[in-house]
Amino acid sequence: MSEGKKPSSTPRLKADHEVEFYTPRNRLAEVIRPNTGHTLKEMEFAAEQRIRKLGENYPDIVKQAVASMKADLAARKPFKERLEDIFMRAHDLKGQAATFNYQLVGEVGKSLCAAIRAVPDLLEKEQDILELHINAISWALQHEHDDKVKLQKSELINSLHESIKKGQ
Amino acid sequence: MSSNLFGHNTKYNFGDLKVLIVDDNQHMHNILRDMLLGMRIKKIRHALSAKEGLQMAESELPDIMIVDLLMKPVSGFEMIKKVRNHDDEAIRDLAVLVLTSYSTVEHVRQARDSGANEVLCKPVSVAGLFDRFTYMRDHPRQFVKTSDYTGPDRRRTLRGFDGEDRRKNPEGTNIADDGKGEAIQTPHNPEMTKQKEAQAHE
Repeated sequence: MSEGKKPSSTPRLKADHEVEFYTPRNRLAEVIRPNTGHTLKEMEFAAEQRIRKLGENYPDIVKQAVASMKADLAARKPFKERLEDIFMRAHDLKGQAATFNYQLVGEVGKSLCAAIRAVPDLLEKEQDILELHINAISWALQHEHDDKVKLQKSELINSLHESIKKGQ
Repeated sequence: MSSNLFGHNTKYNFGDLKVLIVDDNQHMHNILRDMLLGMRIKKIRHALSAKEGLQMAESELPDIMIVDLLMKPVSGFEMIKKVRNHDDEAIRDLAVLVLTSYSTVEHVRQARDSGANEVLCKPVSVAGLFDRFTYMRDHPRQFVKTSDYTGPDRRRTLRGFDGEDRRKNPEGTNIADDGKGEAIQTPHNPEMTKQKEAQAHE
């Protein structure tokens, strides 16, 4: 290296860089006791009873999320803010739907999240694509457990991806 | 990373565990609450924002915090950083489990760099929570304090193994450390394979 020329990268450890290692108190070991209590299966069974009750309301929650997304889309706010609100709602659906056996709803939510992150400018120009996704959530909710439309269900995600490709 | 999932016949008593859930989604809280109640955890509190979560941790210290990443106005990443830089040592050293729908390497790495102990991807399950809680209990991590990071040591040791390699590796890829504590697959090197085969013949 010629004199006066700065190195291309800064060293990872400076001379005065202080590093302290310590082992914190293991609070979990103090309160979680093995060989007593319940097995995982027993816990799952108990939780399942509760979750089942919660799942009865899940379709209403999805319908509410769809209505809110439509309201977000029509709101008088900058597009980026509206998109972020829709993303938050889709993200929640993506995370929760499978717990209640609504995998397709979760998949559409995932596709919507991915589109918002990947092609926000396209969605601003082609808001139909957003609407298509939001309506697809309603459709998925309605037909999630309907085997008569198995083919349409399997093609739904592909057709949503196609709509994005066509817009590009 | 090893897991306790396969030892699920072992009984555990979570009855005294104090959990603080920080998630701005009420429905997610209901799901988590029901799962934790199924695990016989009685002391469950819920904060709807990062700010509220910090205040609740300050008023009564939990044993573990379950934090969502996507929150407004303060994200889970920022909240964990605040926990790790807290003046109170007990809060700073809290066990933090991130619960997220973001399952990309980048987000997991970001959560780790914020100071999270472990990450659990949604959809959440009792098995997943059981696994993470017991793993964190049985594998406490050393903490590191530097000028720009406080939290669990981010390096996961890639230990050597002397026994026979029985991994199925059809593409001939190799496992290596990427220099950032992550295991990565490196491309197949035909020259190296030839050399190894030649050595085996000798």
